[in-house]
Amino acid sequence: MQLDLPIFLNLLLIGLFQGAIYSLISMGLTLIFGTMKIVNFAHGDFLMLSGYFVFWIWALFGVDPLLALPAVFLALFCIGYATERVLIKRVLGRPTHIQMLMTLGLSLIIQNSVIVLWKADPRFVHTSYADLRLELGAVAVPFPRLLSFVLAMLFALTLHLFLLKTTYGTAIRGTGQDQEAAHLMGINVNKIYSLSFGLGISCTAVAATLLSTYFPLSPFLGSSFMVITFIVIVLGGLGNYLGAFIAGLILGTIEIFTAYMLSSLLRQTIPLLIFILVLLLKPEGLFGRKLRR
Amino acid sequence: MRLGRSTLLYLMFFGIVCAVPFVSSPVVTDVLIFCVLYAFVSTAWTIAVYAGPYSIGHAAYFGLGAYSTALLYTRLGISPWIGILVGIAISSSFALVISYPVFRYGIKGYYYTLTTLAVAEIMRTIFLAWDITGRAVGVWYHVVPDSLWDFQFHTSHVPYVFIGVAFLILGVFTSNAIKKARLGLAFSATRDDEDTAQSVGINTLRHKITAVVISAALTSIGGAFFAQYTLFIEPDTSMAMFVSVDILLPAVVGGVGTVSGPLIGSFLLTPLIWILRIAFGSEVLHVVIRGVVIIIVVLFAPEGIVGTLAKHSGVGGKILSIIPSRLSSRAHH
Repeated sequence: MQLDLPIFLNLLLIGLFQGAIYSLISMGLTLIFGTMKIVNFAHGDFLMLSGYFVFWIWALFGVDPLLALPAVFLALFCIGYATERVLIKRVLGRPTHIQMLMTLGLSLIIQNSVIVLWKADPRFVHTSYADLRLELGAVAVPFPRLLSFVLAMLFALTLHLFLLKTTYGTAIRGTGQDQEAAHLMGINVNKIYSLSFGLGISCTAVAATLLSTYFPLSPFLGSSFMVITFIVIVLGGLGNYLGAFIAGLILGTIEIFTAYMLSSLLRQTIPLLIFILVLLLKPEGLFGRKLRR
Repeated sequence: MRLGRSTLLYLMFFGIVCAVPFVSSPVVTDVLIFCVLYAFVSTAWTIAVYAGPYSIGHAAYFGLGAYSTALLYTRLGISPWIGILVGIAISSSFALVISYPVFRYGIKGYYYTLTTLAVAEIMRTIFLAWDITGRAVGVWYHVVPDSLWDFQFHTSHVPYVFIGVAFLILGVFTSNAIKKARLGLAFSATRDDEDTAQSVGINTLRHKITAVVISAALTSIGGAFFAQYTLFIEPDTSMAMFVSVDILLPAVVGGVGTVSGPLIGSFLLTPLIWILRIAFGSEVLHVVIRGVVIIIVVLFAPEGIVGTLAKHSGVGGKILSIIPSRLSSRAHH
């Protein structure tokens, strides 16, 4: 319970490391919402599916998760693209509950198919650097977590630059701001939807790869990350990927401090309470502009 | 009151449900109990949806009912019947406390959906961490001889069918009364176009809260019934998100916003899933099928069976005249 400086720093670092993963998953989810106005309830299950891809590439071919990342990224992009084309497309612009049921059904299918195929027991990826620790003064940092954090930051930056600087990125942002105007500017809105969904899903591939270097994998991985991811995207302002990035880091830190100072059983309760308060008092999110109610 | 054709059909239906256990095996009785339970909680859920957006957090009320009853009975020896009343009081006050700020601050769309999920998750994580609720161990019942006062029946499960049907009749009656009364009109006006409803003097805030409170009270009865039947509850089986999905699914399949939808949905889905579970021998494959069913409904019959039949007259209209969508809708003609 004692909170001296080394412990504080340690918790802060672990919190930020945890938060970076939340940021990655949430940026994908909020990117999809920003463009298509749909909350993907199956997002966590795509994360879990990516995790299994990473695991099997490692288990069957002995390829390190980080080296497998490009392949998993591409695979998930294609899966996301196809899912949008076949299923999600049909519920765009429909009432909220129809969209929710669609992605909820998808979530049930993915999660339970994985249980049927590969059993529910947890799986571990063992890397050569799994047990390395870095001593930074009084603070000891697990190397895989540090590495994941650095790579997560790099990916977030890349995504930001992609959305900001490239033609496709601009088209995605433009479609999110005003779908009709984007259409009039000659943007193929349908293609942008598929692209955004694919890109949003492949964010989970990055998160799952980084996570797999230190975190056990199970079919329930998605459910355990899903609720916190919802909190992050609302806190960051639905559709605001920079807001989601910062909110992810904040929530990761809050969660780790709650686990240490109160109880690890309540680690999700406090973020959930913050979520309800933010919804009531500032529904546009911590960083959003004022919403019209 | 003269009995309408729909009322007669409902009475026949409930009569058949009560008669089936006498001519079938105990296994069928158990399936029947779950048909009735899910028809009941789904009916309760659809009452909330008469006035407002979809909730995916009804597991909170289900769990509150289950825990109130189970804890009072196992720890203090208080009869489950009193526990049910306490559960109703707790869950409806909880629904009131939660929905007032939620609706007052105008939370809607995905924000509302995510809020209902968050509330249920808060409840689940607290119950998992709290000593009084037995943490992850849950609450275990002591088995006593068959007794109505203890709400436990072991030599035969048939009394559960009767009690379940009694609850279901209460649910259908409430659902129908609300749908038919001015309250129901105000509810659907509130749901369809809140601004217009407000402008013609409907107190949309009060109607939305009323709907959720009634729905929560009925859902908690379902939770209590579940606890008394399974004789064991834990947060992950009575409050998890999949419980909320199980609650809304029959209504979604049968037709949200109709009285008969949840019944039709539950009496089709529950046996189907039970048969699939036996046919494939897998614990989870039936959940995959559940996902497939949801997507098929969303794509091909987004208004559910009853809603879709009502839309297509002709063949559908004929079938619909057999399937009553409103209890005794002709009684007043």
